Amino acid sequence: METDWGCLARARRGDEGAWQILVVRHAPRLTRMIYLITGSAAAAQDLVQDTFVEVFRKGPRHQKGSFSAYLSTVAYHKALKEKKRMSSFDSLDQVDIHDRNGTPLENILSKERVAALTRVINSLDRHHRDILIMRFYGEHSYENISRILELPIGTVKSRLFYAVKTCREKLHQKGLIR
Amino acid sequence: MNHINDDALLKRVLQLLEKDDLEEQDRHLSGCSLCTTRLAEISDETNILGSIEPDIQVPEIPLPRSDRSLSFRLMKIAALLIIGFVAGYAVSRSSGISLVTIVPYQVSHATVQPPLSQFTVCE
Repeated sequence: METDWGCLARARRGDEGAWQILVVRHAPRLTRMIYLITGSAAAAQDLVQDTFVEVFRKGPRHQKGSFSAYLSTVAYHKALKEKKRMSSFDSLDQVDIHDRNGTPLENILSKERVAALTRVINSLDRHHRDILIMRFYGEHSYENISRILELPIGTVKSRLFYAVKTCREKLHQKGLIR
Repeated sequence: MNHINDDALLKRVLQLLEKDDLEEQDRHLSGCSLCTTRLAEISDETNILGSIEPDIQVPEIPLPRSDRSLSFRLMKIAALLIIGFVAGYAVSRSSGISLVTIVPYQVSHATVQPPLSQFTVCE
């Protein structure tokens, strides 16, 4: 399988197929990640598009490390900027959730459970929440998160541990887990 | 037998354990069904944190147009000028308007007056 860097180089020479490979590989993960950071679906879609266009236009200064981390770094900074700009932050409490393949009652219960879960994640401070989102929704390794956030890997690990532990305790208190 | 505490099991789930600690847990878990069960529970509870599926569309992102070279841009401008000229010419021909031809015309200025000596003085 061709590397992402190789695909980007071909796309920059006009190869539409290579471009589509990159978009299919990375856009869903980036969209989810930006959405959970900003709380806005419209912003997530716009920023994912902006991220890809910026990476295409500027091109990488080097091809060291993971393309995925490079892309996420660009996306993450755009997401933070957008979140700062949005005066009325659309809380993650209002996340639209996919209906599961179940009965209407099961769907309602599922939606309530997910709404509670989003409130719990949203209650973390930014430093812990962003790491949790990158790990669970951005599917990044600790090394990548460390590179994206420019933090020592030990800090990333300890913050993730704290974030998950705190969320588990809150989920326990709400009776969402035993 | 000392069981593994929840924090240590959570570290295992999050892949935060150092190699030595991981091996020590492996040895314990291989003979302890209680800790194995607890590990599965913590793993399930942790996975819940990543289970939100937002109802958002992934945008279609077309291949952006790459920056062209200067020569390409100049060629594009030249092509547009040629197309514009040809189209203008074709329109003027089809509308039946005859072309106006401007012929240079020399205008003669005032004739030179004869010298005064040629005039006869009348008494």
